[in-house]
Amino acid sequence: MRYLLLLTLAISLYGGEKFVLIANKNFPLKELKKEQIKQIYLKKLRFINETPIVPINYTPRDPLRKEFENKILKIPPKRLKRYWMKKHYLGIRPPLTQNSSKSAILFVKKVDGAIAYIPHSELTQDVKVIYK
Amino acid sequence: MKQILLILLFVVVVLKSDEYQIGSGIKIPKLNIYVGGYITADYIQRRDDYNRLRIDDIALITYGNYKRFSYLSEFEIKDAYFKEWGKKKSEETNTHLKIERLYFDYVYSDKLEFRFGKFSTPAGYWNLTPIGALRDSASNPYLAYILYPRYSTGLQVSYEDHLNSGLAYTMMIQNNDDLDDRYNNILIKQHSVAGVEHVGEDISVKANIGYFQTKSTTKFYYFLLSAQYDQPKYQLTAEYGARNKSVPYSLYVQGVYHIASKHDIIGRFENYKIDEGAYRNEKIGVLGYTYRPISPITYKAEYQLRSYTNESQLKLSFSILF
Repeated sequence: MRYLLLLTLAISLYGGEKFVLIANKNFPLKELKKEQIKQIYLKKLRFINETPIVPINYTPRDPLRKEFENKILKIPPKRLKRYWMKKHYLGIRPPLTQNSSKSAILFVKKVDGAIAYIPHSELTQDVKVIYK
Repeated sequence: MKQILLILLFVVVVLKSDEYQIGSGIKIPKLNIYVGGYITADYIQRRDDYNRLRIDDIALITYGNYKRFSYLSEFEIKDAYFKEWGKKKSEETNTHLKIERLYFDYVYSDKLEFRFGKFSTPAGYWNLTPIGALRDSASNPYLAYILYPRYSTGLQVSYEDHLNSGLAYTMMIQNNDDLDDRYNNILIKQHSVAGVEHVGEDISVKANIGYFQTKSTTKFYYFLLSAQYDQPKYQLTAEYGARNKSVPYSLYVQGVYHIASKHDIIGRFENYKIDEGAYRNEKIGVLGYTYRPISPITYKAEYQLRSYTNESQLKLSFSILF
């Protein structure tokens, strides 16, 4: 019971942490609106100016991903799964996944059009914040 | 028969792969190409003692991209096995591989995209769900068969200003024969369609106008108005269209209610009038149930109550996506 309470506390604390959306320093825009982020993560918007956009996601059970999908995409996981299944039959793949926010940050630093959401506490200097 | 065996062999290889997740295809190592497919089967029992069992589709899809270019191919064996009994008796197998879709895309900019090849005609919402297995109901509304050619072979241009407006424009032109006219509902040699769509948070609306010329040189003009309303618990889709000479009107309204995570119920009302020598004016009510034990496997059941009562029917279907 004690462990269950601790787990619930840990999840609620994590859930309370805000995420920020970061991009490579060469990303063509200064900021993105919620609707634009949604379009990028649903692969409806794939280029901005001349730059191909590479959204980074986490594994399906990652709590930060659940938070992001609730607040930005606003699509329940089952329906999102069906959405990507439909897209598969239209030749479109879901966003790339990284195992941790650290590897997502490394990816964003290396690739011009890459964007990723990370916990606010892990924000570093070498990336651009485009949504918070 | 060889084609069926090759596809089944591919399915076995795919299912045994470690990285494979059912329903999302598999990547060919070292190439940016994905391969997937689907199999569907259905059974119909009509009130006038007509029964039909068939393996409807065995399809193989490949797609890939390189920088701004991408391609998709879909080859399909239609009616691989087909048996009718009762009022009409027949049994046959087919192994001819048909081209359902084969196209190349070029993303010119964040607003402008080009498509070239054979693809689903960019009209309405129903026609743009690429395969039946992904749709909620076991059957398609009549509007999807009678109003316009479901596939076109030509050039499509799409424009959407994602960053500033919710409007999307599409224009498609075909001025040649179908890439594989064994796979289309209407045999055409010319087709053009233009559309504008407003995509909102919950509701999307679309208007299309089109023109096509059949191989027998008959010319048709048509329009289609479509709307889709999406909520977490349910989805409503409605389409209304007409065609000069032979389809004074055709419409359907469909609702899908997600009763639980794997269970949906579907209700649809259809009304159409078509000139088949004499006018056929029909109303159809559809009540259906869809069960997905896992997302890529679907069992569907529906009953169609039709104003031509002898044609009222039960339809069951099964599909697996891989």
